[in-house]
Amino acid sequence: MNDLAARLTRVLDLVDREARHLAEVTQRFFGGAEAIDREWLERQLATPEGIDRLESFGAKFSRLQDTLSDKLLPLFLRAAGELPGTAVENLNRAERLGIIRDTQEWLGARGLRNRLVHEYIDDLDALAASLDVARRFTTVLIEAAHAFRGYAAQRLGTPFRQTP
Amino acid sequence: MRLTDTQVRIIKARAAECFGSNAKIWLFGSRVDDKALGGDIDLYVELTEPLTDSAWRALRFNGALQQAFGAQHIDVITRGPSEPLKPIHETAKRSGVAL
Repeated sequence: MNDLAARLTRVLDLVDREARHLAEVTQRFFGGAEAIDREWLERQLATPEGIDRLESFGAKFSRLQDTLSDKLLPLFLRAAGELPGTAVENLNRAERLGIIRDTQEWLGARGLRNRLVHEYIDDLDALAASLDVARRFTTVLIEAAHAFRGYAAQRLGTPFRQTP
Repeated sequence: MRLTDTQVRIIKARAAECFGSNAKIWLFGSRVDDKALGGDIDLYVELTEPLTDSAWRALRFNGALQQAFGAQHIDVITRGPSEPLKPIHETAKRSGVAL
């Protein structure tokens, strides 16, 4: 395995771990809640555990988003024989390769993390709406982690492992 | 206001796709100031009819504008017809420019 493939494998392993941790905290924080609204959020913020879960969700969400967009995607494109470009160009290429579903969603989600920090957001309706969107985008992130792993294993010769 | 005619046209077209053609849009924040430089594009969108998924639509609207403008930092605030007018909405309308 050459150096690029070895680095890609390491980052794919990191993505697997981060995706698993995000899936776990998403389950702990949101559970099976159907409506993520102000009332639901007030219940979470009423306990130290709920506040910890909110912070943990925001941190793990941002971490996987960063690793996928800033670390894995440029490396992945290089391994696929392409020159990485701007964030928009890289996401457009990933969409063309069928790795991500919609570049616009990914670009729109980039500012989401700033809206998930409850110390800075005193509008609980707005925070609940952002959390609802982030929960939905979590599925998009984890699906992309699977897609990167599958594509790399089939076409770039990295080891296949089951992502969460 | 520091937006080009093309940018305004794109913002209105993408807003119509994401929120329907009756949505009203204001530019507010530093981009209203002709003497300032750079800065985020802050947009306030008022919906005239209730829409499911308005936060997700706002995310897609934001992403569509970044795709068009090249990853420019854009902030979008939406208000549905049944939502109360909050101070941030009032400020956006009072200090902003309707597009």
